[in-house]
Amino acid sequence: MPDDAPLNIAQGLPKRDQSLQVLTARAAGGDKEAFAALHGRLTGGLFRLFMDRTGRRAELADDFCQKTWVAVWQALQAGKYDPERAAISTFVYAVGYRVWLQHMRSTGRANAHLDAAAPGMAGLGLAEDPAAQTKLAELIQCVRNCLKDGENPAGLEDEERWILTASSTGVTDRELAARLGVAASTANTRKKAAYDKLRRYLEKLGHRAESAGQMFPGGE
Amino acid sequence: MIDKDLSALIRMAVEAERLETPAPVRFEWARGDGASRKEQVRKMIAGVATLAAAACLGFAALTWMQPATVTPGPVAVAPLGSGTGSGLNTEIAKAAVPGVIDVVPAPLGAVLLAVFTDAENNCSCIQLNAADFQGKLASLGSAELIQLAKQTGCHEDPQRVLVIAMEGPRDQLPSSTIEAEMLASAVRENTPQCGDDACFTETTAPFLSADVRVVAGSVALR
Repeated sequence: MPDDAPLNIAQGLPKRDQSLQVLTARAAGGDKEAFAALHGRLTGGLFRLFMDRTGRRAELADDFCQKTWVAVWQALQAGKYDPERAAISTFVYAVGYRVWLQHMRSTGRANAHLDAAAPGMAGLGLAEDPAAQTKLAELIQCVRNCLKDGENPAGLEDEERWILTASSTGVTDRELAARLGVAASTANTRKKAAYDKLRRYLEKLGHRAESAGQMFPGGE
Repeated sequence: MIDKDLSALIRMAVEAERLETPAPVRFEWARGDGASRKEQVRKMIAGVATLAAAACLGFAALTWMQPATVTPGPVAVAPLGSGTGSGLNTEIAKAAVPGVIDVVPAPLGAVLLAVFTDAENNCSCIQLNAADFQGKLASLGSAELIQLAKQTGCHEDPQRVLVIAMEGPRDQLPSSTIEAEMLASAVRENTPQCGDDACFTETTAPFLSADVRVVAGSVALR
């Protein structure tokens, strides 16, 4: 999609179709009503996310939501969102993440946050590079597709998807083992195999260590 | 890409997935009164706006998630987020992606929502605290719940308080300001004629999932 052209598929789309995809296409075409509907569909989850991030400070979460939606609207109007690369919810998330990072950087707490909440992502260049949010959205979308039931582009088994999701929240090998009914060493082996599958899939798509390094300069 | 990067991406993917399943929708699902989704949303938004205006004008103090004093006796409340559950099930439930991976049922939880109103019947503040009713919710009356709510009261001189105690799957309970506002607003709109706990409880229940047990009541404090 050209960077400077809004989506032209918005015209002619069925007016009654309220799917996120159609709403997004309409919003990209300048339809404010569709953007309002899109906002209505996703802002509850976004607010909730920011509430968690801000320690349940409603005013701050609301402020972040507003900044995120302004940035999303601007990106849509500038043709900077490509539906082929990421779902709108993933894009909104990536924009919101950037808004959050900018706030954390302004208060000098970005690295502390990243160390605590997203190990391996310290130094993320999102706050400085607006285009990075599109790349991040694409990367997140790839992972999201891998975790989705039925899509399975990385060839992950159900158990592997569960292991990945659980371990990403801090569930230990011992806890995984207890849940799976296997030894901790076996759980660790399965976890590593799942990570390897996901890594290979992302590399196959071009998200190699070098490009990941650009996204996550703090990574190894 | 190291495992830590992948792990961070997985967390972000899970969070992005959750954007499409905002919790407040459940109040609409539970209505079941035939009203259209749009109408319900419109009503709720209007209700929230009314409530917020009432709450925020003048001296209103909106206090959220205040730390609460754990009291002796059968029940206790605690700040939301402190979490009574721990260990594997809690972590796995957090890891669950709606519609993606079918994992263990959500852990149980309990919350106490209190809406304090002033002399003009305007909402002056709302509290939402985690609670532990120790399985005795059904036997509790509004008097006990109001005593509990008053321990962490966010209004110095409330005229009336509406309490809604809920117990059930944690992911079916209100956990944010928006959800609490929506529920409080919906209940306040629909209980103008209620005079006893049974009426408040029966009116509140349809706004919640069938898996959630609820006791509600309202009394004048002065």
